[in-house]
Amino acid sequence: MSEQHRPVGLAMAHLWVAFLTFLLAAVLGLYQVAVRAGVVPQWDEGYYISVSAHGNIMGFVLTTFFIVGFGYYTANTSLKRKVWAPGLAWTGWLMMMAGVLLVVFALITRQATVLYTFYPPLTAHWTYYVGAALLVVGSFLWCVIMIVMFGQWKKDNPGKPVPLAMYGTTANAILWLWTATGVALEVVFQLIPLAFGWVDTIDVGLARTLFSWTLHPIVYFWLIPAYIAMYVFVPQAAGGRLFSDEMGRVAFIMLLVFGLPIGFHHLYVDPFQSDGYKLFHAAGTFMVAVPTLFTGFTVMAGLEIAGRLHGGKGLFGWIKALPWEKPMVLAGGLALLMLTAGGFGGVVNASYAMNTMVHNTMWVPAHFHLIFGGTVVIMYFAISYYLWPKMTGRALFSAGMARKQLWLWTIGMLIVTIPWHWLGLLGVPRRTAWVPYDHPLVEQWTSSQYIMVFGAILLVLSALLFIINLLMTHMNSAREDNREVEYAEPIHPVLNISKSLNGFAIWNWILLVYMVAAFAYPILQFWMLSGQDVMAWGW
Amino acid sequence: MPLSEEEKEKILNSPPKGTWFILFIYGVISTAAWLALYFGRFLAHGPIQ
Repeated sequence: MSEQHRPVGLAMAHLWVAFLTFLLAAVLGLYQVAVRAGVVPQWDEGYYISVSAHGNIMGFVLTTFFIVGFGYYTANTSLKRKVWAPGLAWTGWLMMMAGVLLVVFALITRQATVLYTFYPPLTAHWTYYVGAALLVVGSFLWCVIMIVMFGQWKKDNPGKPVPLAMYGTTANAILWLWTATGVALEVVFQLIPLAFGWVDTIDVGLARTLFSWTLHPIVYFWLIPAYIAMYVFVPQAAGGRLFSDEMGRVAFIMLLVFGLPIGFHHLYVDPFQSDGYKLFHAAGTFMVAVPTLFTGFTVMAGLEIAGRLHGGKGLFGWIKALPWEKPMVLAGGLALLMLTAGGFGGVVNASYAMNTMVHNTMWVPAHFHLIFGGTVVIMYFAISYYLWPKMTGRALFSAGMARKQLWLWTIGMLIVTIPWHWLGLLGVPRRTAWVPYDHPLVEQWTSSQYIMVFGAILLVLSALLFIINLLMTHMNSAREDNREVEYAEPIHPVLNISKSLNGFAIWNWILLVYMVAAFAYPILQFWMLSGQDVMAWGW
Repeated sequence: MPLSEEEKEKILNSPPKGTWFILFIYGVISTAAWLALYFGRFLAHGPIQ
């Protein structure tokens, strides 16, 4: 595949939207912690606009644009074939951009100031919901393109294993189609009619149930590209091999199947679902820890092999021998560190009884900032540092700046989130501009509130360094000689692969059965019940 | 000193003992931390008044 067939423009158009909005969201994050700490003038509405914009950009814009852009480049370079239907791909980009502009309009005109606003009866302006729908539908076009390219390659290469990077990308496209369906139903049948005034009432329980369908698996949509990079780029950069190709496939399949029907762990304290179904979803939540453990093990084992090939001895000597000067290796290590810390917080959230202790407290943003702001975003940084020279043909402006940026981000994120865990245990609520009641109680929160401002300053500095490094790479006079994207080879090449590990048909059927079991009755009950009671499942 | 092909092959086919050990330590710490939170913090709140 020659360089002229690479989808550089298409990928860059997505990635730059992702990162420029990311910089804005990082600044808004600093503003929010400054408001909560009381170091800037109190302006409650400004705080809520900022929370909404920060959450929407980080959760929807940065992620979706990055995943789509990275996906096109991965499909092209791993399959070594042109992107199918580039016109459709650009149509998707235009739809996503139109969606973002509508959402921005709703946000800056103060008509969507409660984070995400998918929790009625709190309602946003119709432009917010139509914008969100356009963003999702635009990304669905990417899903179609990925699935078609996956099928075309398999047809042209019968019996051969699909490259792991593309297998993971296709798993993510399928997962996103399944995932976004819940919120799509909520938006189309409930929120848009409500926002336009076509209906006067709305079933809040049904809306929260449909949103929970999307709310948790969306995390795996964000996370899978990070895992792909951990599997195929980190061992390669470290000078080692991928420990197991099959393990990666199993992890992606498990994320697809077990990652979907688990959203009720967000509804543990909501009254309209029964204990039995909540427990059912809780079990799935714990199951989804397994592919994460598989990934942690496989990536770390690959790094251990690389360290030993570099001369590392003993139980831990391989760690010191790794080429930490490479941003991809450093990012892989830091992302795993954040994953272990964030994963623990998630286990506490998922624990049915103990969830009541931290529910809707600062513990929750602490957990998802470690997973998302830690693992996911750190790997997005590393992928960009790796791909930018390949895409532009110019050497990375500064590997040293990249290393400093990665450390700054990690330290900043830890400084922000460690106090949040503590504040959560003290019962501090999240998503509130200030807490004017019970002053002696609030006083003990103050020192932690100040610490997080310092962490947020480091995060903004890190985000700035990241953008500067990418921009300067475009202008770098030093050329990048190696334009090939290199994927790690497994220790044991995959010669024969079973159909189930090289496709998704059987897993989609299993997932369909699992989703029906997990959601059919909890959704249908809203039409079956005559009153407010919930028919308990099991007890 | 660069490794011989034989040594490289041996490394590639050796079990990742360091990784197993780190994951074991992580498992122990996580379990201990979960139990500490459950018994030390959550149950200490007592029943709902």
